[in-house]
Amino acid sequence: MSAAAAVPNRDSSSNVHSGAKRREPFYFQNSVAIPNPGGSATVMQFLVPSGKNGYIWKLAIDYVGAGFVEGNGLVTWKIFRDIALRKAVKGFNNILASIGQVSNPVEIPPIQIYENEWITVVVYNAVTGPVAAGQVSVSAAVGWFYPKNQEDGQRWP
Amino acid sequence: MSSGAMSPTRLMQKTPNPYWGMVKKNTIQGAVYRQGQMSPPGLEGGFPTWVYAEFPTIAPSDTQDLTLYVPDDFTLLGYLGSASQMDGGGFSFQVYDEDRNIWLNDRLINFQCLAGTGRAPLIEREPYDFKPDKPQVLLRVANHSILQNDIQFALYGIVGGSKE
Repeated sequence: MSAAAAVPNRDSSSNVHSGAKRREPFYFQNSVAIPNPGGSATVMQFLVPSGKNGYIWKLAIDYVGAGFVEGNGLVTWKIFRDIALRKAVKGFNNILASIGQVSNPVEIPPIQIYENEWITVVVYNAVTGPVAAGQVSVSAAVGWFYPKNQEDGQRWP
Repeated sequence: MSSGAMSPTRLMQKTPNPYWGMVKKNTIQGAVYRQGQMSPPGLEGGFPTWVYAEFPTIAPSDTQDLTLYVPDDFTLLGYLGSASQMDGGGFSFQVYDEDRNIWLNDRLINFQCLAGTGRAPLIEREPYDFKPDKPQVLLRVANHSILQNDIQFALYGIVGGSKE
């Protein structure tokens, strides 16, 4: 390992596939009906196993049905690290447009996730939104868990 | 007279003890005095400093980063924090030493767990020395509120002081 690589790196663009030897891949996906205007619903949720950290490599958050306009802010998503929906993932606290598709998740700057975190994708339907309840939001997350004791100092914010 | 200094016997409530006269008579039961020790030990002669940051309009659930320039020869002793919106615990934070490339806490932790409360701040048992010359820290703050928040944050510590 070079000296440069030994330095823990906060740059999210490098060495996404390096790191621990015993990695455990995951591919979570789920869907939920769009809630009534003014409401919210959990699209997908998974627990990071105890003793393991990981990262989300690819992500999909999508809307299936009519009435949604990308980016108009009437349907939004957030990704949280907890069940209480208080700790949002940096940069994913107000997602205005869909990200990839469940059949084709897109690569994102890796999201570092930590043991015992409940990664939760929540969809919000604005009060004034023309989006009727009953449409569907879908989400998928692809990545790896790895044992904490194999961490090599690489972490992503 | 037993001095008590080298004895495991209980000093409190004994009139002839070596600390007699060093605390107020009417508060002797509640006073705690450690003879000859400055606070914090090992940093005598330094002066207190607060490295301050404010996030006056942080959006609901938003996370923001800020690089803080820390005084030379700064020793971190604790954190102070407050928030205008305290629902969900107010906010959480993370501190990254830019010079040593380490997170002091490896994930976001609620500020009251690390900083305590306004009337009862927590002081670190282990002071942390930043790099002596032009140290920087990255401060990451995550708003837990569902409302826009006004967050104040400070690193409390000592500049200078005797360091062995």
